Amino acid sequence: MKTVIAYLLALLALFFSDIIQAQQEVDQQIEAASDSIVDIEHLNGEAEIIGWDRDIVHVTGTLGDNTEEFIFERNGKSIKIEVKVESKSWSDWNSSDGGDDLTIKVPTGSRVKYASTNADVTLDEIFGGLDVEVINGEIDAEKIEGKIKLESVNGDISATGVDGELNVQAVNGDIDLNHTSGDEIRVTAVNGDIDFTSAASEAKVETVNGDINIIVSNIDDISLDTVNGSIDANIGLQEGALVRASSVGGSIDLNFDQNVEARFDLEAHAGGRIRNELTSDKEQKAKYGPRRWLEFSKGNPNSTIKANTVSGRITIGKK
Amino acid sequence: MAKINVDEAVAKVSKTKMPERDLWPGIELALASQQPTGQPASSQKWSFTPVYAVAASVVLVVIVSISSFYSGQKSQTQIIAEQMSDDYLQKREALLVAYGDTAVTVNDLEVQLANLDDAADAIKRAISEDPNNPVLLQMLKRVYAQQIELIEKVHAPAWQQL
Repeated sequence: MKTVIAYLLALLALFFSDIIQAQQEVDQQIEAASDSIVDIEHLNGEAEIIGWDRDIVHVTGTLGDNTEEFIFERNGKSIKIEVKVESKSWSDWNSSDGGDDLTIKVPTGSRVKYASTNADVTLDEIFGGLDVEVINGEIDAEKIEGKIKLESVNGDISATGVDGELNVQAVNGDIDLNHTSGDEIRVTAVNGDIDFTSAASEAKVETVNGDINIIVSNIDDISLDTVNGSIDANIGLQEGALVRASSVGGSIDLNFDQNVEARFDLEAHAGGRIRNELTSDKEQKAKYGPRRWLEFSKGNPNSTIKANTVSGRITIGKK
Repeated sequence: MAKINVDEAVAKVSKTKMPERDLWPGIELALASQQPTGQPASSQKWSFTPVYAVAASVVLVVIVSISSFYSGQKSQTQIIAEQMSDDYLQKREALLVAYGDTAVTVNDLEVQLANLDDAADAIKRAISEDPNNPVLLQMLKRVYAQQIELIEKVHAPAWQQL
């Protein structure tokens, strides 16, 4: 009988320990350098990472039901925040565990590295750079600076007030950016759409099926590539700029200032068409085969615009 | 060795060398024997001899051979495109084998790869229409690179470590 009671008590203790664990709250802080490197990893849930003017990293919130260990430690300038869970099975993505709900405050000069499989993350006022990777989840950033990389497989990415070198990648997610300054922007999506405004001088934008809709004001070198999506770009050029655009089946619309001075070299290879709304020059058609092309210069052509499509339509127009 | 003065030797050669006998009667006789009676030479029907037939056959064979050689010949761009396709398929196969049972982070990888395969086929068709265009080759290269990047991205081991 005593053995049975002991067994039941043990079960009860285990049950309550699970509840306690499920309800585990976090409120911890560590002193940190103003230019700390903060490395955050957790499996699922949501996280809000905010820069503040104190040299302290502060974590508050609750941990998910399956939390096995919460690690929060400093080593020199490096701060590690990690939520370890009992099982790391891939099927845990869609488990009933709502995951962690964390608010992490870091010195504004910190460089933040964040990785999660199934979480939405928001980031605000982080000026030392970002490296964010999620599989299933959205990334939403505001007022960020430095070298920035945002990557999601299945989720939208949004960033406004971005100052710095920007690299954004999504597979099945839309990308929406406001890149206020910084020399370079590189954006890649497979099925999602890409929308952004940027003052960068160098840009590389690429989709497979998603549409590209951009406004760039100060381009020295830009390449726009899509397979089946469409490209619609309003482009302001520096002197001596190079613009390249290509599609397989998608349409390409490139719009420039009325007084643009450039050489245009446009080609449709197999069934594509070319429309010129900038000058009176017309496309030419090969005597044999489906190839069409249009080459012309406007003003004193110090820039070069090249566009190629296999079977899409190319339109050159005014902004 | 005695040196021959070519100019002098040429000067010694008679300007008009006459045949040893008069050949014109024989030529006239030969021409008369070939011309059928009552029919002018200009309207004579062409005689189809075995020699002409053989010559015609040879010419025909040569023309057909040259024509088929050129029509079957691939441009440098097409050859590179085929090599690129072969390399890509090998790399894709090797990658998929290497990843094995590793979980994929998207539901429709096959569909996405099929879309890119269709795009590659469209570019290859354009290359066959416009066989010396390096721009199309670059587009094909990009599509293959996108496929490899996609496979790597959705299988990335980094994801598995979380």
